[in-house]
Amino acid sequence: MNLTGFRALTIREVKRFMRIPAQTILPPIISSALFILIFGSFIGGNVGEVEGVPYILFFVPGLVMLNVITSSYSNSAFSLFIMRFLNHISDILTAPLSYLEIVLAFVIGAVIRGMIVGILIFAVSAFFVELTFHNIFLTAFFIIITSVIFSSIGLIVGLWAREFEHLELFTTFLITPLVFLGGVFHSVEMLPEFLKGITYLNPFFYLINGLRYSVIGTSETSLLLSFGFPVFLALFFFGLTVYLFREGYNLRT
Amino acid sequence: MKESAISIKGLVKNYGKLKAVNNISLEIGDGEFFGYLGPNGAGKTTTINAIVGLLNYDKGSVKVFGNDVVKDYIQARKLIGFSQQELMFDPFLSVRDILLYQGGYFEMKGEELERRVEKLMKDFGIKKNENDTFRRLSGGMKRRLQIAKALVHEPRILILDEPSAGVDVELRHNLWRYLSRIHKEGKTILLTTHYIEEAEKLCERIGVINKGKIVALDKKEHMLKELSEQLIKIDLKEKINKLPKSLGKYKCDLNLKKGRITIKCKNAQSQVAGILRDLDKEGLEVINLDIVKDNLESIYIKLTGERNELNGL
Repeated sequence: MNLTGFRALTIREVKRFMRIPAQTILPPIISSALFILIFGSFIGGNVGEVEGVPYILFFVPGLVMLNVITSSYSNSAFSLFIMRFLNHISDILTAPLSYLEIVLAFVIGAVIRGMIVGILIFAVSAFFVELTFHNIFLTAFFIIITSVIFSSIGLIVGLWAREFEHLELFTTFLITPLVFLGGVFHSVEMLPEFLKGITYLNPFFYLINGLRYSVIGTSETSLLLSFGFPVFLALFFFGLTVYLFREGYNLRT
Repeated sequence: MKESAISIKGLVKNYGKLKAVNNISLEIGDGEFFGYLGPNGAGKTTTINAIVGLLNYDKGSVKVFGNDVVKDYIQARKLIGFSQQELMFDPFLSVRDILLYQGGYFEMKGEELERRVEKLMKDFGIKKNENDTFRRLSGGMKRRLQIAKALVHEPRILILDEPSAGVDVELRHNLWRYLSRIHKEGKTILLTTHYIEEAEKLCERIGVINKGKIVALDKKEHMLKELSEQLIKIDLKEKINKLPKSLGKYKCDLNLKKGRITIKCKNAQSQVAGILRDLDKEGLEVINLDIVKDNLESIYIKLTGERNELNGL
């Protein structure tokens, strides 16, 4: 294994987003702070408890999940697409790095960004509510596994895209609606019967439910599904990404 | 020839109906300076991309010091330094960091890497720009950085795709001196260029590719000798109306107006004495004789028909 090369590419990925925090770190923190202030403090006071906890504590894990998903997706999708767009991706494609090492370096970079964003949103929420974790290791697990899934998807979209607009299509038409409908702000119990059924088909619901369980200790669905499904998705999309890199999809002519 | 640094056998790459590279085979020896010439779209960059791992080719095999570029791609890539034609770099990094990361990808680290990067920045005159991003560099400085980047890990093979494109004369000559030096130190160099003078000056062996096929492949001197024609131009004191009988065995032209005889042949020097004797026998006095040799450029134009294509534009 080319550990030195792998390390260099991982550091490059982390430094890339750390160099532009106003684009990569601050926006999700500021928008989350506003959500917490308005929905948590102003409106949440009138909602009362949901699933046995204050509303603000109920939706903060959903908010974290929303931003971890968009941050990890954007990190790898934009980084890879810019490399392709500016045609300096040949630097890593002609280096003695295996395709697994290349994909892993991109994914680790995105996981680190996802974790930083997640930790900072939890930190902001601590100013508004007494924050306790049912199992902080599970919290880390769900943030990491979610980042792996969406950074892999980001890489696939980064390979497929021909223009910058294609990167946003996925966020606008798939991620954002499914995350919101997956229960960022609401409990599945609040929905009419027919929408409950649809929610159980939404993969984002299991990710949000899993992270929420790690914070408040109650789950709205089978815990096995909330653990198993993300692990399956992470393995599937990570494996698919490595396969596409190996095949040279939109990388080699 | 020594051990093959690069061995290409039966390489085929099609883009739809276009045969970009059509069953080419090529061996480049260890320590050789090889010039790869051809018009735009002939298949030069396609061949190079197959060697460095930027191409999924359809048929054939490419090996670098015995390592298959597909099956043993990691070993193969360790041995190659590649300077591509396009001058694009990581926009987030400084000149220094571009070189440091490149070394990192090639398993270099610590002081060894720092020393190497310092040396290359000095050798290529980019030390003063070490903290600039590439967008602040001139075209010439970008080219210097591009070649320095290819050399960071001290590869056994250096592949340069059009290294002189867009650089001024001084830099081109400095680059030639540098390449000659590292070639003498043992580096295998594969160079594509549009400057025929560059290939003529630097390369030991030349391959010419046209429309996806190699149309000439030989040592530079052999190519010049075998493919070149020389012209013997003879001016006579008296104007003549028809070619002298004794010159019937040669491929001759007579310019009646100038009274100049032009003879096309391959070994002019060895034939001049006989021609002069033949003319003397017929009582024709020679007042001027000139031998015009083909250079690589005229051979290249003959092989590729590039001039005709341009005239057709």
